[in-house]
Amino acid sequence: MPSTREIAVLGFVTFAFAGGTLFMYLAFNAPKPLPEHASALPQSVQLPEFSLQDDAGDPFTRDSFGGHWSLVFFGFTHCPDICPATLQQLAIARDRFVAEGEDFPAIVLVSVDPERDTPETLSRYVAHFGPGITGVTGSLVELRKLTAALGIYFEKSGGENGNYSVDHSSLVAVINPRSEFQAVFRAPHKVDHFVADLPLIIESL
Amino acid sequence: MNLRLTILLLTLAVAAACSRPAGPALSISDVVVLEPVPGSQVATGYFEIRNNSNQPVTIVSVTSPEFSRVEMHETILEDGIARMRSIPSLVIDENSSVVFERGGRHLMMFGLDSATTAGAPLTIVFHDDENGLVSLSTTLRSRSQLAE
Repeated sequence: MPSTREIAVLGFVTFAFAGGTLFMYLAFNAPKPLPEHASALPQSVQLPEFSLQDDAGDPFTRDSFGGHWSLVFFGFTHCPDICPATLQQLAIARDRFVAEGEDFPAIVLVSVDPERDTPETLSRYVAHFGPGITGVTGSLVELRKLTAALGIYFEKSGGENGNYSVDHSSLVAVINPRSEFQAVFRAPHKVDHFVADLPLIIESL
Repeated sequence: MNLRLTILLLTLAVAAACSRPAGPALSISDVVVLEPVPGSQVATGYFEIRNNSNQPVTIVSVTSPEFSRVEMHETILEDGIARMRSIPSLVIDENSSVVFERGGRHLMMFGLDSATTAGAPLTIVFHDDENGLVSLSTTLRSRSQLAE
């Protein structure tokens, strides 16, 4: 017949073991904080194949997204307001990450105005915003493969003699290292939104 | 004779009082003109314009000696889609302000000499519907100076 002391010790050990097990379970299975500003897709979606060009004139395809995170914005170089502003905000967010010694996703500007945005034009344009930004352009057929997959709308608007604008979706798409569409930031964009939510999105993969 | 002269002068005074008051009807502040991004050809202008008079004022055009063409436009963000629309003329109500800011109204400024860099002086002239104008001086700014 175990003594009272033996029963007490056994009870304590059992309690400690159960508590430790519960603690470990909660630590590894606690719900992860969700992004406050970005919207994560319920399930990441593989991008389709497409064939565009980067600003060096090299092929830019689905495989170009592989192996790293990317932030993709659709705009055009003749846009005076929201396009350079968004790229500037992404560049500032990048600089904050780099200052902290953290990696930042690649920034990709896909032109919705391939008629005027040649690789050479895009190269000069994106260089203005610092390193880590790639301009992409190509045929409308190939462009629409990517825009359709990301839910991007774009359409020429008004203007004569080549003086037109392009209406376009203003979201920033987050592509994961498996070339999958994972999350989206919707306008109006703020640097603090990118800074706060990107780590959460990246950790969720 | 003195009575007639007095009546004439009073009539002229009343007529003058019914027109726009003396002094500048328009004042412009917080002016920012951003340099074109290389590869682009468009500088962008932002500011606040105030009508200090008791009557609406209509801006019918904007010009600048440093630019071949200046246009007023507005970015409209609706359902996640950004659209840019021309503003042919801008009515500023009496004692009211209109703001040109990022993501909204802005000036598109074309034809700047490519050798012109940030810090260069600029002149912008706002023309109203009564052939009045307001001219201001500012400097071209680097886009890296734009606030977040």
